[in-house]
Amino acid sequence: MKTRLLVGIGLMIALLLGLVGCEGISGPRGETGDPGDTGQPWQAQPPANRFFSLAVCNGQIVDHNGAAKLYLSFDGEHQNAGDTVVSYRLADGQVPTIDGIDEGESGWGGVANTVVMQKAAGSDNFITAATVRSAWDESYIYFQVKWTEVTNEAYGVTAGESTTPERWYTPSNLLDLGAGWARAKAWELTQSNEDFLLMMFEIGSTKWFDRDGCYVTCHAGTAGTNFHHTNFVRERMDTWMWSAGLTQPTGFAADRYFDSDTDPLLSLSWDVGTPSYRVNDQTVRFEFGDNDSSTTFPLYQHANDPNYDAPYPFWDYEMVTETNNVDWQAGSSVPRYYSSIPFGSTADVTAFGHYDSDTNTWTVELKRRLVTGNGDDAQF
Amino acid sequence: MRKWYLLIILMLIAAVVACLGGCDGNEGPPGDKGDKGPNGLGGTDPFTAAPSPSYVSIGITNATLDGPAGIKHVLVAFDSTMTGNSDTVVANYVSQPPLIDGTDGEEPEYGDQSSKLRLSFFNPTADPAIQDPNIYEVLCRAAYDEEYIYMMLQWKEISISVKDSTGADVFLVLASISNELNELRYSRKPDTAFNAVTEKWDTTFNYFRIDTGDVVIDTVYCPPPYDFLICEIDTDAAIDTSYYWKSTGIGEDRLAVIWNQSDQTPWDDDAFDLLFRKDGYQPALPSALMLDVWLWGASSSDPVGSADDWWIDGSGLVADAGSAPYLNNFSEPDSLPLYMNRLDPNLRTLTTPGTVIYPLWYFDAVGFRQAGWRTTTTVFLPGIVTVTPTLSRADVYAASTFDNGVWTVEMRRARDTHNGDDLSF
Repeated sequence: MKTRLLVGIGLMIALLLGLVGCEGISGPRGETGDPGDTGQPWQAQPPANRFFSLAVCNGQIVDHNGAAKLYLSFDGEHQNAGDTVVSYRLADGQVPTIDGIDEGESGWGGVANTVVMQKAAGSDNFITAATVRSAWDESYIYFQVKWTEVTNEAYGVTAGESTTPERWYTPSNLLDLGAGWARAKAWELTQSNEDFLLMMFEIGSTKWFDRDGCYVTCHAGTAGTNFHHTNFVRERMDTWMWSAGLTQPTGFAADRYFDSDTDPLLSLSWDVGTPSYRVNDQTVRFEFGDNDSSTTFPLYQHANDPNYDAPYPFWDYEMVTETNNVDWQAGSSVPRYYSSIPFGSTADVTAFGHYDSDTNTWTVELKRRLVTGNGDDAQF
Repeated sequence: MRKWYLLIILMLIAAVVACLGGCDGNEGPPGDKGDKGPNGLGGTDPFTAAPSPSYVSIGITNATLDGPAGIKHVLVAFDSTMTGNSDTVVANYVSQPPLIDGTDGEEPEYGDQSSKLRLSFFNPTADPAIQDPNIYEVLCRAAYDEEYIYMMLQWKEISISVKDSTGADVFLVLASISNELNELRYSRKPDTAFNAVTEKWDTTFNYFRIDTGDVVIDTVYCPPPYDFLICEIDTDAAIDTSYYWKSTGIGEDRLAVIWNQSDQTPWDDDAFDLLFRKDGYQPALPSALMLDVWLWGASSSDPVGSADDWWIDGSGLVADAGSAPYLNNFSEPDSLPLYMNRLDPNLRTLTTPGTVIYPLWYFDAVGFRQAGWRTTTTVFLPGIVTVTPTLSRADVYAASTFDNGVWTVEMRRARDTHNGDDLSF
């Protein structure tokens, strides 16, 4: 009996030892898990898709063929086709050179689109298509427009590089004209012969622009000219104008805007700042007793004038004042515009073109900041 | 019974032995590797946050360079939950930049907040010669977006006149565009004795007077083209003091917007002293002072579409890096204008006061020639030449209109110009 009791006690002690003996300490902490993936660097969000207008001119700005409404797509959900131009996001470090030389898909991040051009105003220049590229990066938007001029002898249209804006010229020998009035009145203007590229974007929203494009702003002007204005207060359109003779030497497109002002002379305004070119005109009133009359003639002449026939560009630092007392010979001429280095919002758009005389093709490239912070600009 | 006691005692002993003598278990195995951490946050646009509050002081003159109407220490809050009032301007966030064309774009362009700030005359020396411009109030709108800050300021000039002894009106202040800064005048010297110290604007044909000391005046022969380095003192020449060029000292309509972000005091009075006092007073400035100054002038900066960008530090008023939107058209002490219009001499005379001679663009300016100026009347030249500003001095775009006595000036600047002479917003 005692033995059984002792065995029982021993078993109970063993059981107690098993039950009550302390647990071992925890094992060491496992390795720290791998870090999560790196956060995405900040990237500019694609600009909003939008409409824009495009036109090209062969010699005369009034005679422009264009695409009144093109769709500019940044979101990657559209393809280059029809009236849609895809703006490609450029890879880091990829920047097209604004030199009028096509760097192709590798330089622009994607393919170009060929858009249909139609007679928009004035006479048909028979340019029926233009190739458009667009690209953007975190700071800038880039465009390239390429078109081929055509010759149509029946309509007097000739393909060729046209780089001559209007000029003042003297059909008469001013030496023979005597008084200042006769001299001043003798000046006449030549016709411009210059190739242009025009682009137009909404600043904010312009009613029906998404339906009719630039036609909604096109109006008959005075003296047989057309001009643009919007139809509602606070509607503004941003216009970029590259021209082969006037803006090309400065490397800037003319950056202007127009609003709802219905005065053809006031609706189109330069952006804030100083422009890349100005008009070389002066209007003087002459009085002859009861007969008052005014006439317009050049304000400046070239430092090498008279009879120098200064070429474009006519830089402001080359000018001297046209005194109207100089002995101009018949046929002498003076540029109607003079160029300056622009400053301010007028200098937002860099532009340069190249003309291939073998194919009669212009390639014009433009560049602007996506956001300029200027209310006279479209913001992308 | 004793057996049960013994059993219980033995069990208690066994329990004590078990507690004392039980061994620790072995160390457990290492834990499992932790889970992968969460992904990092996406990058953020560094410019999207609203700017921190700033303080601004505003000074406005009417055809002068001193004696402004001003307001100091206005809080500019970039928090649209606040309300603008007479000492707080609330800048609204805008998704579309206001058009900088010198017209009030009102709520559609600047948002619904605006402030009417009361101005007071600043004349710390109580100089009776300094006229109160009587500009009482300026309407201020401000806005910002991710990259730029915008301001519109609008004030009204008024005319105040008194009758002279003949009953004619003499205008103390005139509501008009004053954009002919520092016009130079060539005329017969007054009959009063010539003051060699103060009357430096004195010249004759190809001879002009220079101040060679405090009182001694020599006649200097300066063969054209004008170059001071080749001028020689001509001791044989007769001194002609009949006619002289002199600055009229005309000011301009001017707006100064002075920014501060640290709110250290005092700074407003110091800034006004530096900008608007002509007596040479130099305040003692804190070494850590950093104020940004936008100076719009109807003559000095408006033609090019900018406001002249300056700053104030512990050393005083300093122009930002770059070139100004104007050149002074005179050089002391040689006392001659530097430039004239291509159409000069005699483009504007006392008999043709309406002839426009401002702005004198750099491309219209030619080197000054003394020949041909009329002596039978007073003739004039611009006191400045308008040029294109550059670099940090050209950071602020500005445009203005003047309509029926009301100036409207709009300005725009990048929040961060990356120029050390500018404050960042």
